[in-house]
Order: sequence, then structure tokens, then C-alpha cells
Amino acid sequence: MKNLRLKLARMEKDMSQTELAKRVGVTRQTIGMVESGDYNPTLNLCIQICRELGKTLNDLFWEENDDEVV
Amino acid sequence: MMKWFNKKNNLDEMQELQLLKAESRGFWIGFIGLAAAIAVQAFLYGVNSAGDMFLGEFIVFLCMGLYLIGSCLRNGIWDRHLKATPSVNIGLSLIAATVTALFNAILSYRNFQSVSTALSVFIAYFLMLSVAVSVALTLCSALYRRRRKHLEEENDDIEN
Repeated sequence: MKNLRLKLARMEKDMSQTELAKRVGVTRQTIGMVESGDYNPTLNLCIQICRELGKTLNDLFWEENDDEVV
Repeated sequence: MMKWFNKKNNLDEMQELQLLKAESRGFWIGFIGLAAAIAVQAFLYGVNSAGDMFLGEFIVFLCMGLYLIGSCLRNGIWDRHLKATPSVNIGLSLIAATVTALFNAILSYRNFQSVSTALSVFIAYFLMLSVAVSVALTLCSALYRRRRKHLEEENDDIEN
């Protein structure tokens, strides 16, 4: 599943994939694959991405189940 | 000082995962390739010429298999899809025994042109291998269960 929230958060910060990748110490390809949903990052990388984008793990990576009571 | 070699890992976590997958596929290509090479050479030159023709391949094949078994048992891993139950072990040993016995029966028929000899070879190999593989799998699954239990208890200690 595509992670559009991550892409939006990155764009809000006016940051390219290359720039975000450089800041969190991975390749641009990895950020691209996280955004496109082709790669599930480790918790460490998720935390680093959240820190760089000023978001929480819930903001970027939490997915509500359809049958979950909110 | 060697400047071309960097002790630090140049790969990020995703690349590391991709490299591990590539290495895993490479291992299996090598493993199956060696098995095929041994089978073809045994078929072409006979099992008795092993010392001259494919002893090297056989030793490498054996080392790869033993390393894989040892690593899996040490880490308490059995298989992705199969469970370490007696029925699965017996089923697997019957399959392995059938394939190997059939291969040796074909070799025997090619060498002696006798159906009865080939049948005897098939039965002898089938009986020997089904028992041997079954015992080996039972032993490995017992070791696996023991190791699994130990690792689970070890994790319990860490939590407490």
C-alpha cells in the first residue's frame, strides 16, 4: 500500500526524496520504495524519518483497520 | 592501508535485505546445481567413479548442506512451510528414498540390462534410505525442538 502521508509530509517540508534519504542515512531508492509501499522499513528507520519530518509514527505509519472501533 | 576496502557497511537496510535475498538465491542455485552436476556425472560415469569424477563436488555439496542444517538448528529454525512432525518426516523420507532408489535402479538397469536386478536395487535402496532419512530427520527434529525450547526460555529470562 502506498504511503501517501509520508510523501505529503515530505512535500510539506519542501524536501526531495534525495534530501530526506541523505538526512536519515539511506539511499533515495529506499525512500522511494517506502513511499510506494514496496518496502517495509524497520522501526529505527521509521523513527528517523518521523524525526526529520517532525511527525509521529502514528501520523506517518499507523493504519486503522476498517473494522476497528474509533 | 587499503583505501578500497571500507569496514563500515555501505548498504542501507533495504539494500542489505536485497543483497541477502540475492545471496540466498545464489546459495540455492549453487546447491541445486551441484546436486544436478553430481547426478549427471553419476549417470554418465557410474557411482563407483565418484573418487575420480565428482568427489570435489560431493564434498562441497555436503559442506553446504551440513552448514545449512547446523545454522538452522542453532537458531531454532525448521522450515518455512513444513512442521517438524513424525508424519511429515516419514513423508519426506519416503519421497527422498523413492527418488534416490529410482535413480539408482535406472543406473543399475543401464549397467546390467536386467529388470530384476534393477528392481532389487530399487527395493534395497528404498528400504535403507527410508529408514536412514527418517532416523536423521527424527534426530534433527528432536534437536530442533530442544533448541527451540531453550531459546524460548532464554527470551523469557530477558523479558524478566
